Amino acid sequence: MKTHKRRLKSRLSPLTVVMLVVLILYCAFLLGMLLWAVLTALKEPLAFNRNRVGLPNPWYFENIPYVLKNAEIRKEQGVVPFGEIVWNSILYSVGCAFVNTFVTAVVAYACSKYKCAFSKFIYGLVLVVMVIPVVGNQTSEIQMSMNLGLYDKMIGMLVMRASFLGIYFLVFYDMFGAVPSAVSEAAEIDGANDAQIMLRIFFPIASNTFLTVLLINFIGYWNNYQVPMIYVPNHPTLAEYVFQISTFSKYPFSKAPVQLATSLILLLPVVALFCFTHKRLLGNLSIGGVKG
Amino acid sequence: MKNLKSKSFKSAKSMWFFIAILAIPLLQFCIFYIGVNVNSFILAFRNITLDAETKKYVFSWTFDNFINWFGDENEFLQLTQTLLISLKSYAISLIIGVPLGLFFAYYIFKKLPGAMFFRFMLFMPSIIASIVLVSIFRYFTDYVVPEALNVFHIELSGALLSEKSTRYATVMFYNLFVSFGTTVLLYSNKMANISPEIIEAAQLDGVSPAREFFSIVLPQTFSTLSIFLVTGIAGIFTNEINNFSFFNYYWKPDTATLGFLMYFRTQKAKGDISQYPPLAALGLMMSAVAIPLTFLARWFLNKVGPSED
Repeated sequence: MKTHKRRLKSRLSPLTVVMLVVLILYCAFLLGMLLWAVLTALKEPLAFNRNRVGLPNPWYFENIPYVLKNAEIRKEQGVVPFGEIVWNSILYSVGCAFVNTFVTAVVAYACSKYKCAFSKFIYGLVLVVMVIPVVGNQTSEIQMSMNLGLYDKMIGMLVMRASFLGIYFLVFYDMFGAVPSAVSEAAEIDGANDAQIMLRIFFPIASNTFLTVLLINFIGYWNNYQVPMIYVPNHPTLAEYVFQISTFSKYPFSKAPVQLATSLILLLPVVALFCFTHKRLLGNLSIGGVKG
Repeated sequence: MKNLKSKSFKSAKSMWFFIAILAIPLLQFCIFYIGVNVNSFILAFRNITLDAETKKYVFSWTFDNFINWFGDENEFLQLTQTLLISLKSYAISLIIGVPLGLFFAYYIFKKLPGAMFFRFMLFMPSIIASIVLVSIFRYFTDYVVPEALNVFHIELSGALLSEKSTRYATVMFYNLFVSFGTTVLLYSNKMANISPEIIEAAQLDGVSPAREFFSIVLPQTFSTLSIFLVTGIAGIFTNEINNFSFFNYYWKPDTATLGFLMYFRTQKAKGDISQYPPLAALGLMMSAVAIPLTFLARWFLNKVGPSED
């Protein structure tokens, strides 16, 4: 015990003590905000004006069920009910995350395992695209999606996200490259073809990395509302709904308790996922991405 | 083809498999990267109008999309205002956010009290949707912060996000607050790769934590730091500092950035392609500045950055 205290004392310095204080303040502010949001979501909408900071009085558990039952968005094509909003969210986040991760893994596998000049070219291409910052081409992308008949369609969103560019290409490339070629040679001797070697041998080996990248992508897409608002304007997601609700004036959606209750519906699945997977997410992250 | 096959592929089947799995991703790349960027370039020089009679778009060539940003008084004012705020935001992130992120990462790397908990908490804002966190933050600053300040007899003249004098500072505070997740994680993971022998030798020599941080840890982490600094250059032109989440469709000249200007106009166009060419021209101009600036920053950091040795 004494040794532990002495070691701790030797590691603490004015610099680290200041950091400790700043970090405690950081956590207190973040937890304070989240706790206040949860408590506010449990307040009766009209009672909020009388009691903005204190504990709910009375405790009111009807806000979330009310949102689940009555939430909707009015779009050009008509009213979009809450069920459809949630379905759009799942389709967008799971679909885009899976397509993006799978395509990246497949291209990285091809470049890593088939050592030809073209593989080297693709590898170089990914690096070049990452370094060169092309900005402000969103309008062109929208026009392109319109010309191809992909605008305002979820399938179009999936096609646009089927890209292999980005840091995770390098992560998968290194991951597949680290697997000894003896593994695939043994499978070949056993009569496996190229597709079987990729799907039944290499992809299971990379499953840990694949799941981590998938999770990171899923969280990103689940939380994103600006991209779907532009590319699939008539397919609102839950994140878009949380954005739109802040502009509503209709009671009780205009009140903070109901708006925060809606935010919690979007927040809870991701926080639950993070609590269960934070070791995988935080542990597997390395320079610019994920290590295998 | 024969030569390629014999060198890189075991059989013709292998080669066809390679072609088959790459065909669709490459087609996607050709359309949505090369095609989009070429189209963006062309779009910047086009004038698009809707013919009232035929209800079809009419295309012509023009330089006006570039000229208007400088010739039109309102457009020029908006461009310079947003550029200044973008530069100011980048500088604030660089001066406050980057050092704080490095210090936090050092704290976690040293496994000081609560390190793992702090790592979890610092990453938390990265997994929460910006619109959710912004909503909570907005209400929190509207209702809770004034009451908390009242305890210390400090009275605010209005809500922090409504008052012009406090709005930008509040928005930047939020942006710094949520910015530590990924950077701290990557810095601390990079620091974890530092050879323990080096740290032990320094400790035996009686090196203070501050000296250890500046003389050993920082140079060893510099390669990761420089990646963030170099890629961050593009952020000057793309970062919206959460304007849309904070203020919805309301334009706030004191917080709007170039990135938000682009998104705001694209959103307002609601799919009307005749409004796209000026934005494509602005994007082209921004890329023309961002690309050399990025390479310049890379060259500069390589030249002046500390050596890991």
